[in-house]
Amino acid sequence: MIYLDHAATSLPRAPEALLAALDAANWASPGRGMHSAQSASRVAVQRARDDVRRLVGFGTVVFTAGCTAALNMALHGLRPRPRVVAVDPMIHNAVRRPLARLGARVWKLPSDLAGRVDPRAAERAWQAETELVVLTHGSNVTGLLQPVAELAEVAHRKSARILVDAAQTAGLLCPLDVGEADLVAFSAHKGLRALPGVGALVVRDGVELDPLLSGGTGGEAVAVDMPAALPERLEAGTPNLPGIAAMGAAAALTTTREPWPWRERARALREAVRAAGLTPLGEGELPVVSCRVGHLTPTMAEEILDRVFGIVVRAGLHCAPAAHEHLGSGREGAVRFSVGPSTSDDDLAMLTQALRQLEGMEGGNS
Amino acid sequence: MTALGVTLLVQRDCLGGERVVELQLPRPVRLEDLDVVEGVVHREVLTSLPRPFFRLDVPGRFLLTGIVSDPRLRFTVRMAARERAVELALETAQRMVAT
Repeated sequence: MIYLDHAATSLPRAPEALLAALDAANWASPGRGMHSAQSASRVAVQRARDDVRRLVGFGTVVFTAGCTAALNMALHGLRPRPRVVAVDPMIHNAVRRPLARLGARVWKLPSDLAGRVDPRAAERAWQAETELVVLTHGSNVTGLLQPVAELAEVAHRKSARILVDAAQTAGLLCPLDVGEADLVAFSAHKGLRALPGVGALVVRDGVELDPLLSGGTGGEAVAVDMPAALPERLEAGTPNLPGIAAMGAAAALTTTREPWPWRERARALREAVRAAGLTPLGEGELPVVSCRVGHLTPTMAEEILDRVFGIVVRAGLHCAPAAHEHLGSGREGAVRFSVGPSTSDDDLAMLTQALRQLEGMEGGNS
Repeated sequence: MTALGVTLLVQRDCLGGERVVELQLPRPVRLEDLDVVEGVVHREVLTSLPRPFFRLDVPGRFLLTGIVSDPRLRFTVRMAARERAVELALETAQRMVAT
């Protein structure tokens, strides 16, 4: 099997992350009591927190159940509650749906056809009372990177907070390069190649969040309210220790080792798709490309690539209907190809060969 | 596992309507099995591919796809028939297996 769905979850996981998870499965509950077993666990969780923090370079790391959980924590917990929110055109449902539940008025930042927001145009088009800007750092459909640092400056000039969905960039961009962003959300199982079910919300000093969950934190047990200090305020209940340990180990690898050449692989992926005569949707920098394949519906192309050629890709809307709407592929979506460190040149050559057959396919009636 | 001896998995596509029922027959699909599917208006066997992929379109009911010589079938059941998705897939599979 040639696995080209790394934008959904990257496989295989980093061995160092898996080993860390195995070790942490036997950790005691950190911060519960003052005995030696919990002390060791507490130190290990703090080390993981520090390692994850180095990916971003600022703020407090709050461990969550994934990027979606982190985004919900930010969108529903931010105080004061945002009533007007600006977004880029490439948002994922992990942003779109919580915003709809929040009942905020949402407006789209001005962008080009590929969905890249123009910071100067954004400042000119700024809508009054906008209190929050939510940006997709890297699109999970096209791999497009948004100019987050410049947009954070604009947002702050307008007294708005900025929340960055870094699901597709954490583990690739190092440091994450999000400028003066206030909140950054990401998961562990994509670019970091750790485990699913764990993620982080990085909260800049001075940003106020109410918790979505209340419960035990190991400290201040008499108080009815959650503690005021982070990360305890947002981390009720026993944490996902194997997930956290794996995420920490993967983050340490990312910040201390030579990164895999994802920019070069992204170019190779685009060339592989173009060599088959296909045109990628929009534009992008990350190793993610989406397109239509000949006259086939995306789901049909996915099925044939999987079952006939053993190439696993992802068809549909990729949980980003807003992005597909912007790109003009909102009805059926597209076929997405996303590569990871395990993807070889031979894999890409096989992809090109398979796509050529599909692109020029003439089905015979029997 | 059903009484037919087929393994069944029901999924949903991400576009919001159709049901996808995947079945594994007790034996590989043969070309002649395709003849017993009722209501087919479009039949295509893509013999130019390394494995002969087929699609049968039964309008208003389902699209049946698979590979000749492979036991797995996929029924993409249309919106109008989605409440009967499993029933339609099993009925059709029964007919194919009986040939």
